[in-house]
Amino acid sequence: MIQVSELHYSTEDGIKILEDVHLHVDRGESVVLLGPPSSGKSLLLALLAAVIAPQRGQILVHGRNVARLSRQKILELQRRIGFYPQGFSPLPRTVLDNVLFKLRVLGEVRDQAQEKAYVALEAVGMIREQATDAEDLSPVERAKLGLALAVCNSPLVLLLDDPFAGLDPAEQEELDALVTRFHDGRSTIVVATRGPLSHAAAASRTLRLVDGTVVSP
Amino acid sequence: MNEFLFLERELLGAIRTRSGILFSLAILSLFLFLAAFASFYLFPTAGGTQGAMLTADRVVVYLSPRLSTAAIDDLFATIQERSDVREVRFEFATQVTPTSTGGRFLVRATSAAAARGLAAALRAMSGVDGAEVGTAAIGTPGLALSRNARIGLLCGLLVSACAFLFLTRRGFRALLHTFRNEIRLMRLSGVSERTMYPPLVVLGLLMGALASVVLFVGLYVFQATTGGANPALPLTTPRLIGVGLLSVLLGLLMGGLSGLFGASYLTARPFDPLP
Repeated sequence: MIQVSELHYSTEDGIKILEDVHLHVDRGESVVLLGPPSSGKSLLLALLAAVIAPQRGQILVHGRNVARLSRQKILELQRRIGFYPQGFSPLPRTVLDNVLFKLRVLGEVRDQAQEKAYVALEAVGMIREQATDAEDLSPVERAKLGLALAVCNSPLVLLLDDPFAGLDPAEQEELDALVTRFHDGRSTIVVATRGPLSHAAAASRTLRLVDGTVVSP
Repeated sequence: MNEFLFLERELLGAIRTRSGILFSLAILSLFLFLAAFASFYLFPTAGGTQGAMLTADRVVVYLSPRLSTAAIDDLFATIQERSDVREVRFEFATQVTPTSTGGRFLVRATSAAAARGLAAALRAMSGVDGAEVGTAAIGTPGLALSRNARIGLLCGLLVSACAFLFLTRRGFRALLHTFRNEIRLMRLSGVSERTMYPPLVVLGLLMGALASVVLFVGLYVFQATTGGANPALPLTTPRLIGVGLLSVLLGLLMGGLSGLFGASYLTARPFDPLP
């Protein structure tokens, strides 16, 4: 499902962030990518999501080489990836309208979008907060909304960039239980976090990003 | 179409005070631009002697191209000596239009009432091909544009065009800044540029349409209140429709261009999916 080999990435100043990264995630597998702040976790996830083009090396997602895809194919791939960006901030509208916005701009008609939005909000336990202004949500509720946005169009790959940041341990456990629930054997999930790992996350395969290279702990 | 309409509505809903003021000012400058453009076509040039620009005390006498210089001199002297003539001026054929073959006299009668009889008398003279009496009301040539006024209008045209482009760019920038989280979400979700650009271009077109429709209506009101009653101003309905439609096309073109400028701002760094 995800195959990364000999991946290198440097900044414009020549600072190496990722160096010879090799990674393999099977279809339906859940992987936790652990690493300190600024270790390149977000960059690796952005590369996997085809948001940033790789400089050197190969990234295969769904058997497609991201570096060789046309712009149109990249967009098609991105539509099959649910991405939770680091420091997610919701849109200034209600919880339901946040999810509806994404679905409508992806071309869903109103009724279909509404149905999918309810399913996504139900899945993250936010159906009661659907009419709440997203800017009034607590940090854990915001994270749940971010998850709902990532899963609302039934992606095959879920890439979550530090969804636990700013949450207390109990909230982290709650969110992690949600992520585990999404791991239904069909979706491939990669969660990047600086740790510590919750009980549920500890059950997944854990990889560490050390000095720009992925290593098994 | 579905996502286009949705995005258009969302964009319009994202207009806040700052972007709203900038867009209103942009529409105003586009209106001024179109008004200046229309004025070139609607208002005649001062000093012109053709058609309705002639005041009612003037007579244009068209001379036969076969007249000799001596015959023209004689004719000039004859007309000048008439008691109902105040002033006579001669224009060579090439001064009239490049294709004219005969010269002409511009005769000013002592009064508008005398002009008609004078024209009839001049028509009867040998060597005269025709005589035309002015139709414009005396004392109202102010509606015509002098050369300086035209230069001023041209400057106004350029300034208002620049102001429009500047204001729309600032307006789009403010609007897209309000909309930046939505743009980032779209970029992360695999929404193509082809989905994001058209609503912005259509927003520009809407501004162009608004400015030109206001101008169109304004011209009609102007014609109804002034143009019809003033023969110095050739505001005929076909002419008005022609200039109006031309202004609408120009307004839409300018609006569409401004929308493209605005859309080009989407490639700026603040809208990167991962800032």
